[in-house]
Amino acid sequence: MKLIKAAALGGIALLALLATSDLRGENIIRQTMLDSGLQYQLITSQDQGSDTAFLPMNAGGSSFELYAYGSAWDTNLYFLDRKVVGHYLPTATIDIQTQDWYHDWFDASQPPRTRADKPYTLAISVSGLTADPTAPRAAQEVLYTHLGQNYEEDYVPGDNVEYILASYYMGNQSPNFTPVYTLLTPMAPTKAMGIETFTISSLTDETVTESSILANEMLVVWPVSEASIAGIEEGETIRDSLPNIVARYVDLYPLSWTYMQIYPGEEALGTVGEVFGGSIRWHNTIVPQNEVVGIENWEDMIPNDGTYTVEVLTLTPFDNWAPERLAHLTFSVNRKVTVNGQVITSEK
Amino acid sequence: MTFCKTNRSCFLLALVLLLLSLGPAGVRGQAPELPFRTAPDGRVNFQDLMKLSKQPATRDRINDVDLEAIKQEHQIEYGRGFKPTDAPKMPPRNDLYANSVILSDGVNHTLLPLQCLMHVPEIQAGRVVEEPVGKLILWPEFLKHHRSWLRSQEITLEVARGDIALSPEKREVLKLGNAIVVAVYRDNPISMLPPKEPAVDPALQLTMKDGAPQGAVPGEESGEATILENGQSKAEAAESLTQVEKEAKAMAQENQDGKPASSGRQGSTFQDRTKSRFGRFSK
Repeated sequence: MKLIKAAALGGIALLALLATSDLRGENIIRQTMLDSGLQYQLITSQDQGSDTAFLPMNAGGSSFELYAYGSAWDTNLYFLDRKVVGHYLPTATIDIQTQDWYHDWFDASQPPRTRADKPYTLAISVSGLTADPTAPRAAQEVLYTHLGQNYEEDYVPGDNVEYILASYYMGNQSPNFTPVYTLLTPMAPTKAMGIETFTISSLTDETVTESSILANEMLVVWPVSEASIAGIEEGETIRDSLPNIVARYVDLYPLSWTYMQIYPGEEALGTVGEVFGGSIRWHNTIVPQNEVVGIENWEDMIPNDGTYTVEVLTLTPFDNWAPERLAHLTFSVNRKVTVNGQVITSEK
Repeated sequence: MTFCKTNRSCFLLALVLLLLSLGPAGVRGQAPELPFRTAPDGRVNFQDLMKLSKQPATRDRINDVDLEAIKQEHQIEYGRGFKPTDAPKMPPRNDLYANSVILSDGVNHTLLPLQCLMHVPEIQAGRVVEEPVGKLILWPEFLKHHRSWLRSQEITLEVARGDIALSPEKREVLKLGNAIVVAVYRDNPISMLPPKEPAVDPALQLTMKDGAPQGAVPGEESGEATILENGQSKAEAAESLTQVEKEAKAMAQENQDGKPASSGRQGSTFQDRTKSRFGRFSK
């Protein structure tokens, strides 16, 4: 996992910098002196290590930002972490735990993620502030902000602007909130999607002229999946050949396993049926996925006439991969041919 | 074991595609404890996924009404110690693009610290851009490929901090070649702040050979800077150094749309950045 540790020793020039990145590329480290704005940029291919600070540490402190540059095929830039080092700066941490702890399985640079209906744990810790009311304000409080930004249907921010979900001044404290559900404000609760940003930054006063970010964490929220089944009407009796079935999977969670099954009888949650081979979709991606699945020539799934139920289920990291039914449809098959004939004989 | 009785070929095809599609994407040095087995190369064990499908704890998709009720019941309460702010400000974002000078060769771009451009010839003004073009190329590679119009100039920390000013003569020397000159410290780009005092450190005074400084020719890695007596006022020096990048961008903007560019940097928005972050992934 990403990590930067920085510590000023003796309040002067020595700073140990340890940075690790799971990305197989090069890293950019940008040091900025907070009082003067002087910047220094170092590019390193090492994914971990320590070194002396590039620029001397001064009273105003310095920020160290770590960016990862992708591997050979990926020239995107990824912000990994930022730490501020100074003489009298408070320290803060923000930790978010979701049920999808596989979020970095695909790409470690991605922030934690959850689903609109799944809670997460938010742990905040602030220390290093003074309770002395005569101390400068920047030494007594920090600013905590919780921002939201909705995404469009194509899973990007589009023109949506960030909005403030919460904003507080904090002292030394370490609250832990759980369960926390997304505070994004969508049209429909199950369709919330976007990014929440949690930030703790120092205040400015007569002694500290520039605010600096002490801790920053983001949480990506994706909508609840849904599905529909077309080709057969609910309660329909099929007397002819079986029609093609078209299932639409919408907003499949980025890490999910989705399929359609059929079993005899009325719908009953938890029934294990026969899986339509062509309906299986496995995704391990960054954004939700949409699929259209067509099922043809499925006579073998109907050994006998009677009532059957078709279901779409999805498995996600939430609730320990328990199946979640997205849609179901019950119908009947009656292919017995009844011939009403008349036999007439006559003798002349 | 039979999971479906029809579409057997589709089933096998889906399985093959599943395994192939995972490939290197799922490779992790330390795979978490998954409820299904994964091969060393990250492939998923299909049989294990099917076992998961047979868990009894199946539930229906939640609806909006139920979810809203749950969220109302578990609203976050920040409680004591949290004092609401009067007029919250949006904190600055960690964005290298909004905090960098962007140089472009028309195809790709690189990022440099703010105020690191010591000289931008008018003919090269279009290389300093507001928005990134093409792919990001890291500075050492970018410099290596564009030595015809780009070079670095090693400066001391004192000069970078503005403790010591560059003399007008030195600044004239920087203009000898038609190259953009980037200030570097120990070979890495660094800001060059406006000088605080119009003084010159004698230790930094170096020699000039026949009027031409070492390393002033485009295409050569520069040597030590030559700093002569500073006859420039503090106000002039500060103004000129901070204006270099602005002037270059203004010229570039004029070249682009025929209109003077506004002063101040227009950084990319957070939406743009987040969009670009996810934009590379197909949906």
